[in-house]
Amino acid sequence: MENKTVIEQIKKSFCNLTSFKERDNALEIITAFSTINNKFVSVFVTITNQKIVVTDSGWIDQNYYETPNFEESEDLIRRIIYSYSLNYKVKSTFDKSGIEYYYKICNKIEEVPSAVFDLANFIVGAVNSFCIQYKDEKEEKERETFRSDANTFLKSNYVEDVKLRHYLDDFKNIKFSAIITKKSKINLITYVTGSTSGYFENDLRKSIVNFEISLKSKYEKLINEKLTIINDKSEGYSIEKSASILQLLNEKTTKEPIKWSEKERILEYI
Amino acid sequence: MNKTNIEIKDQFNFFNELVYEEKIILNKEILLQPKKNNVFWFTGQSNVQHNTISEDIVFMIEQSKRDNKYGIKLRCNNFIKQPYFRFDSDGPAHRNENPEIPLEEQSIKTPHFNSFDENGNYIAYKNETLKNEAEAQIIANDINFGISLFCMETNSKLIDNNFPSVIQLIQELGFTENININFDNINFE
Repeated sequence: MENKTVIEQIKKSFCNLTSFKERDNALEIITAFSTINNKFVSVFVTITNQKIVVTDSGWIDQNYYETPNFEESEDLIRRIIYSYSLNYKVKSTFDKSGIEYYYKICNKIEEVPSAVFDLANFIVGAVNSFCIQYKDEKEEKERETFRSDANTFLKSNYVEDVKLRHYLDDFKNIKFSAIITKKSKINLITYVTGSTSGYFENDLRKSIVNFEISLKSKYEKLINEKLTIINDKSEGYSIEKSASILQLLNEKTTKEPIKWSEKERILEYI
Repeated sequence: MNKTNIEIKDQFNFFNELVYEEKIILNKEILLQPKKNNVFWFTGQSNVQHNTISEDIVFMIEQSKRDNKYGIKLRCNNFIKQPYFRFDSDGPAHRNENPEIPLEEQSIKTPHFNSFDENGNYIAYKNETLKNEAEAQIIANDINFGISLFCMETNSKLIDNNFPSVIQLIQELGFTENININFDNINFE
């Protein structure tokens, strides 16, 4: 293989990949930069009010790159786009109808290629940030399934006495997976699950904190049992790995954590 | 991102039948009305009667009042959620990602059709008409030419063998014949 041949081939391919559309109001440069949803990024060069402007022409805002809409990740996406805009020194402005245009200004024609390079890189980053699924779908699913199974179990055994995702009246922001009221006594229950040991241990920590806070509640004396149901079928479950946190949780609960496979034990305690 | 459409891969013959078998578009005129979730777009549609498939099929048109970009789509929601065949007059070039295609040929500029290959990959292509740049330009600028082209490509027509036309509520649209973004009106500091 001759290096020269490869070099020429790459130069030719890369160069030919960039193409143009001459529009009435601007020159569109269809760049060689592409996004993870397989769109080639376009930037527009126009001279307006004696300035050379390189802009995305509102294509990101108007979703011409056809990215999915993960509303729950909006904050994250905004932060990513902000970082890219700082790095590539890309500014943004709004037209009268409220559409956002990302742009760079050039003082002379010689600056245009560099601005096109920066803006194209920015657009790749911005568009890709919309394409990524940030939520861990597997985790969400496993969590939801376990929560639903545990809820059903408690509901079928305690019917009206159980309140799901409930709180103690004086700490409304601290929610327990379930609160069972029986014989004028309160029983606090937390669920622990996770598709990875990280998620699993996060649940353990949350249970520890919740039980710790319950000690400060004015209802503390009415609390009978503090129980944790752990999903021993979940992939994140490992007694060895999570030994130290499990030990700490053990000190906060009234009984040892109850494995889901031995859930009938709950009925003995409450 | 999942780039492969499993339904299309598994039922590629059915997909081809949906696209290329004869279809009758039921509405002669398609009224473009403001889109509910985006004020810059107008949309209109007609039901389609397929010669061999009894599923609900919809012929859809969308047009931007900002820059005249329009799209024509065929949907069959019982088959796949997104449109199964499309035409885009403008917008970004699509990359047909395939190592066997020379890099410079992987970029398919608009106007182009969007379809799927036998592996369920989303692809763009230009037919012979669109490969001619001058003709492609004329089609991109005039939605009625676009509708004719789309109908011929997908074997769709009206019961009287004509193609449907769009009705735009001119006053409401408020655009002149040649719409373009006027960059002079935008404040680039």
